[in-house]
Amino acid sequence: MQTITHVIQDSLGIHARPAGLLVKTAAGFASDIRLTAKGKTVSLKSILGLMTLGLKQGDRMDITLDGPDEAEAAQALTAVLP
Amino acid sequence: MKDYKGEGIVDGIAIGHIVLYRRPALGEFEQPVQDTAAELARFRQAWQQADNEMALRYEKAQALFQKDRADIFAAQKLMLEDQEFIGRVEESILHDKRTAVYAVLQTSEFYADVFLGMEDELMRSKSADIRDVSSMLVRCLCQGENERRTETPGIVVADYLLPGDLMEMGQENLLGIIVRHGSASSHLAILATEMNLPMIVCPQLELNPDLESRSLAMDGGEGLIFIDPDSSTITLLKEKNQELIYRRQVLASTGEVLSYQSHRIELLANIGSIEDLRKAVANGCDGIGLFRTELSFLGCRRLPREEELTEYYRQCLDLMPDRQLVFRTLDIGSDKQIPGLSTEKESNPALGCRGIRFCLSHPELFKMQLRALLRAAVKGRAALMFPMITSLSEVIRAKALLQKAAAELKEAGLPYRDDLPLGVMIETPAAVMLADELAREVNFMSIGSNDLAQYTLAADRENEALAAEFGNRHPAVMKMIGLTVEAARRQGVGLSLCGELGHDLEALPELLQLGLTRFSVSPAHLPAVKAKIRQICKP
Repeated sequence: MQTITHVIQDSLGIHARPAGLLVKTAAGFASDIRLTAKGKTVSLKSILGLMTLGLKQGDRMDITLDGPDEAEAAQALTAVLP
Repeated sequence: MKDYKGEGIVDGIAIGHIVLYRRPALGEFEQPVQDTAAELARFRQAWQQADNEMALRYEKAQALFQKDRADIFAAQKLMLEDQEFIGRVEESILHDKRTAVYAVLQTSEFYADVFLGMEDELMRSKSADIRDVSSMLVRCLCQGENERRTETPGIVVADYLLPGDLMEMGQENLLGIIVRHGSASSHLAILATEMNLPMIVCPQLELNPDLESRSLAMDGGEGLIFIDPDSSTITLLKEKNQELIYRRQVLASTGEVLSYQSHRIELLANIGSIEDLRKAVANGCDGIGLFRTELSFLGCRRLPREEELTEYYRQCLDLMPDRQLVFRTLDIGSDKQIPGLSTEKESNPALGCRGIRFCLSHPELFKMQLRALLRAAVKGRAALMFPMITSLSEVIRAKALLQKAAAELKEAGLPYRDDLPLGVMIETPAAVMLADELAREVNFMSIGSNDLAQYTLAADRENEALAAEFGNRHPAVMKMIGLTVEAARRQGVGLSLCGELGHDLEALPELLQLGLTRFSVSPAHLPAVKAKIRQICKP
């Protein structure tokens, strides 16, 4: 299992465009990928789940990856973090 | 006859019978199901059908609308395919023994509520998208039970409508739209504009079942609704419709090149927001001659951030990638309040620290806007213009700040453009007198006729008592314009006119005679000005 901890830099928070990018990237991997923020955990493969968290600049998020391609997935996601 | 006054959203006249749009209510599908496995299979089959139809709808939208409109449906398809959404619906069927329709409506309302609770307007608008997705699913589940097909086209009256509802009913079956809830910035309004469907928002209108099939007339420009209209109302509206149709025909001739004494005449638009820009695109113009950028700074609780402005300008440039968009930098004075900035009270704001004077005395704020513009300008055809110029040194100092803004972006490693065409507003007698000197520093000039008239004639343009005598067409103002035209010609820079004079149909022959070739007017005036120029050019 891998984890990524990130504090959102984008001044607009996670709006539709970066959310779409994160989800599209996550969906490309077989591993189970979850995001925890504000005390809630959602699948990072769900655009609705991610958007309903309403994450803003300065919010902390923890991503956990579990599966055969978790290392590659972690690398790909790190590149598109907002 | 009974009439209502609502908010006119899309201009146009429609006369026809009412088609009440009934939406399935949660309560109708409340009874629990026995065979949950069969209900689940029913949902999965309907989902497959909805997914196919969503793909078709997207294709259809691509053919009907510009790309960014069609993207509404691409985003909806992603929501339909969302695993969390599907998971919630299936769980509701399996564990709570809900009907598939109930489970879909309940799930979409759950998400819609979350979105509606958010601060950000953009995120709130996602509630309409998820409801649209659930509508599509419910339609597939009910297989035509809720079909609202009509024999002849009618005016749809609904509590609210979603973009998908419009697509489903089809343009050929619709004459107009009346909803109790909606706004000018909704996806629905944008699509209705493109479909040329008059639209009114009227919360007072009660959706009684007895409205079905009654006759109705509407004036989308004025927001007027007449139920069971009398014959004189119908006659009046029909006449108005003739006029509108004539204007649309003039509009339809976009791409037509107008010329006067072998000079190409360009018709541009003055805008203040992205909504105006959409209207300008719809009304056909050769570009944007004046984008008043102050709106993003006024009437908000805090100053916009650089990222927000960049994104906003980018969206604007995306809408008009092939034609020039002239951004006029922040133009405010002490009569307008900007959040977080305390401006000194002035006894005469019109002659105070306004326009470029304000920007030069607030260099950090000014540079922030310039950085946003330079970043957004990587795509599209942006140009920058400085307002209220009265001296050469103002232009030189503004250009120095622009260079500084570019240097800051370079240091931050952000992509930007630094070769944008630069222009100045000619709206003071001083600028007219210095037009040659100013022109050598820039690529184009634009005459702001409202202020130029006010400062030339020493007549407050808000003072109605003075308006008749000191109108725009005063000979002194015309002479000022003539001097500017000559200076622009001598220095070989572009010149346009933005201001009310540009849509003064009686002034147009004289302005053309003076040698003006570029007119920038508000989107609503484009058709009439175009018709007039055409008439002058082809006698």
